[in-house]
Amino acid sequence: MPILRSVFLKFLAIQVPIFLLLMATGLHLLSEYRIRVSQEQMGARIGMLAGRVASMLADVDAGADAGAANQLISILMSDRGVACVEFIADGRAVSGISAPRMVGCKGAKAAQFTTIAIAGDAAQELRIGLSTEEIEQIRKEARDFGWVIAAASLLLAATAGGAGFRSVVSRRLDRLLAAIRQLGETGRYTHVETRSHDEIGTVIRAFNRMQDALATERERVEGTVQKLDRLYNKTPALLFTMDDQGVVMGVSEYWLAATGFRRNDIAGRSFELCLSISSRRHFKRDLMPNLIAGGLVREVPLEVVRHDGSCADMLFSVVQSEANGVALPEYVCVMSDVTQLRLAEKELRDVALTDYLTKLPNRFGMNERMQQLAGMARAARGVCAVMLIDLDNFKWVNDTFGHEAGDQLLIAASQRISAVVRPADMVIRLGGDEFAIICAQLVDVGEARTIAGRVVDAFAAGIPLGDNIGYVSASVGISMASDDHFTPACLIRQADQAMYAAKLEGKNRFAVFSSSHQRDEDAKGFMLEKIKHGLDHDEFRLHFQPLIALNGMRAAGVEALLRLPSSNSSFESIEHLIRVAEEAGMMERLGGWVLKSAIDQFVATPAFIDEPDFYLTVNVSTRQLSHDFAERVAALMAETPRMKGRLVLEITETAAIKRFDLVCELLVSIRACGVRIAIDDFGVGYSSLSYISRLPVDMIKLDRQLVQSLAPASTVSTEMRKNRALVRTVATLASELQVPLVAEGVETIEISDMLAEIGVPFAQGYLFARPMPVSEAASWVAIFRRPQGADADVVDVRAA
Amino acid sequence: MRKLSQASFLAVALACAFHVPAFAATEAERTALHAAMLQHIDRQAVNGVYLHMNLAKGTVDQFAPAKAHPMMFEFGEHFVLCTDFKDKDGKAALVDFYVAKRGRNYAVFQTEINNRDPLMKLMEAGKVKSVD
Repeated sequence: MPILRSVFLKFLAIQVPIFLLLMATGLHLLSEYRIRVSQEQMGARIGMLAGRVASMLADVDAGADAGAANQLISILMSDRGVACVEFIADGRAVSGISAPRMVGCKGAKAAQFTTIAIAGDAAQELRIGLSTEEIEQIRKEARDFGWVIAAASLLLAATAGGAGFRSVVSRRLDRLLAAIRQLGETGRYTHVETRSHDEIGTVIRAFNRMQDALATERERVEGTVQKLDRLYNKTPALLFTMDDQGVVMGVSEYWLAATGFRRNDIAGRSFELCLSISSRRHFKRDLMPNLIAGGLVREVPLEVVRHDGSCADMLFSVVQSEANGVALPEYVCVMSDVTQLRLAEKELRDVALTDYLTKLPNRFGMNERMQQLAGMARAARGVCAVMLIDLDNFKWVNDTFGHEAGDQLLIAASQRISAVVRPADMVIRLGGDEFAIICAQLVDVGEARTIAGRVVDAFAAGIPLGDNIGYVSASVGISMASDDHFTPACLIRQADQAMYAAKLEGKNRFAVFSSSHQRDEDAKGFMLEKIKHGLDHDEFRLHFQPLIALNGMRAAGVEALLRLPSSNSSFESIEHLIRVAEEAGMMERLGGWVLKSAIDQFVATPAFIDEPDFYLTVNVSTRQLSHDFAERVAALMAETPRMKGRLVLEITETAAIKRFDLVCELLVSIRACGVRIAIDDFGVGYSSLSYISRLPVDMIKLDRQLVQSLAPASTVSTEMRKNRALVRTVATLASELQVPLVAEGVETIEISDMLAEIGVPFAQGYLFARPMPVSEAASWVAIFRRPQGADADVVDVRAA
Repeated sequence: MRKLSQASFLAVALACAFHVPAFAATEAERTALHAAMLQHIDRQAVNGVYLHMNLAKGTVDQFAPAKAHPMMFEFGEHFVLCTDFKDKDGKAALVDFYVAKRGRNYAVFQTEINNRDPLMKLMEAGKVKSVD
């Protein structure tokens, strides 16, 4: 109710009814008291008068003197409370003695009647009619007086109350209210003066103290806000706030400086307007829903478009604001400019993916491109091919003209390859002299063949290397991706197999991976499983083939040869087995087993170990020639000191020359342990005599092909003469170097005699003995050894 | 609840304020009682003097009616009316008349002069009450 909005009116609304109630009650009680007193007084007055008249009538004979009786009765009528009087005798009103005379109480306005006995004689009475007009008059006067008093009192009380209320309450409340309004409208604190100590004075003092406290708190808050404002704006961080619709609510000055926007450009607008098209989609579809759901996102990469149109890579972190533990629809955002970091990352990535020499993508770059193609739809990538290229004869160029020339050749090779591929093809340098090409969107395999052919042809002409010219060729392996599957690892492996096939076919050509290559691959896998199984289940065996001293035809030593029994009671191809083991990286384990087993069996065989100067030769793969190989050999020799001077390790000529420096260093260490070194398969491959003079070699073993090419004496040809000359030269060289020479693969007596004639001191081959288990080899050696000092016991091994 | 309590109090207070109590004695009865008392005084008066035999002192005290009190008291079926007399020395005497109803009229059946204490004790005991 509007009236109740005024405190004064509220005060009156309570006060007036109470006042009226109390006043009405008081006036009523006062009136009733007055009426009661009047009634008592009237009763006493009329009673006293009536008693006196009755006493006087007792002395008068009313029957005889009616006039006197009427005069006495009329005295009663002088009282206004008496309405009428009748003289009663014997129960009947005596006519003529009454007041008013002759009428008596007939028609009189008497409210009550009382009878009074005259002189105690009940036979004569006065019947007096009493009028209540006097009482009613008093009642009316009291009521009128009450109304007047009530109205006057109410008016007086209201006026006085209003004046008092205004003086005591309203005026001071108005001042307090004005101060409060001023505080609300202007924020200015105004003290309200008061000297009173009543409730309102207490309220005003409390208000003043509250203002003081608020002023102090405001100063503190303003100081904090200024500090936060400085922190927000001056902190070198890209800070801004936005609402749950992504609309920017505020930005820091640093943010504005970094983006080039003005505050009015961005405040109140959606933040996505500052993002690139791709980032807008990410912001709207992913980031904002995640933010609203979780209240927090961290380091989400977005691309921000600055006011000048340049782009910046930013990491976007947002946290939802909260107050008193309640989340607010406001988000504090900070962006980290990682543009330079991204550029550095890209540069590092480019470096990591690029070959430093040729500037082509390297193996990692190839992997990435392969993964890209694998992730593409079949229609998008089309027919794909992977080509692996190996430069033939590169090592010769490198060794002959030096590493700088080799690098120069590699750069030229990369340029020649790049020049003949399609623009969309990727040329990769895998390392060393190996390159690769990834071709997508080919028409068919024929197009891949065309490209590979162009690559091969690109090396037809020699590559100028300063004053020299390097001649290399290219062996290219091609694998084609099937329509449905694009498996990078499989494609590379198949291309490698095809390239290997191209090399086997004579190099300087290309080969497309086919099912036969797959069969070879399957065979490799099968062999690998056999090797693993054989090592794990001790299925490998060693056979020993004697080495014969042609001068005297006696057994001078044995060569340990590895054998793996096959399911058809024969043995697995040892060349295939070794090649697979080498490719699978198992040669170290397998070779270690061979060396250890050969020594153990040799030492355990009296026919071998008890024969003075009888030696054991063991083949060592080039894959075994690591730095710790010498340590392992030394450990074995330490375990079996009887083998000192009796163990000969055979390494191939090719293996020695490929890693010449390392091999030289290793061989020196091995020889220091009392182990001799033999060059195996000498006469094919490089056959550089200079290597022989530089290598720490104790024995040379002529290659079986060279030995067998000596041919029978009946068919002397130019080739034979050349080979004999070569063997003779090697024999002379070995003799001059005082290095024993062993001819391998001697299968005929003619060749044996020819070797003896040439001066080859030792031979080995089926002519003398096949490789045998250790027991048989021991028996063979025991039978065919030459007894010391007894010519009659000499046995010609060829006769056996 | 508070407003309901306030309204209830206001209603009861107003009802009490405007209640008019009934008089136990009408003006006619008061008139008759006072008339009976005055007639008794007049009858007892000897040459205008009210005589009272004081047995304790062995004297006849003389009094003159001075003032009748309008207030009355009831004592069971009987009434007590009080007056002020003066003795011959002008000294005030408290006189109580005990009145009984006789037919349609009343008659004084005992008079006590300056012996109000017993009446006061009866009033304190609640046996004598003021007539409204």
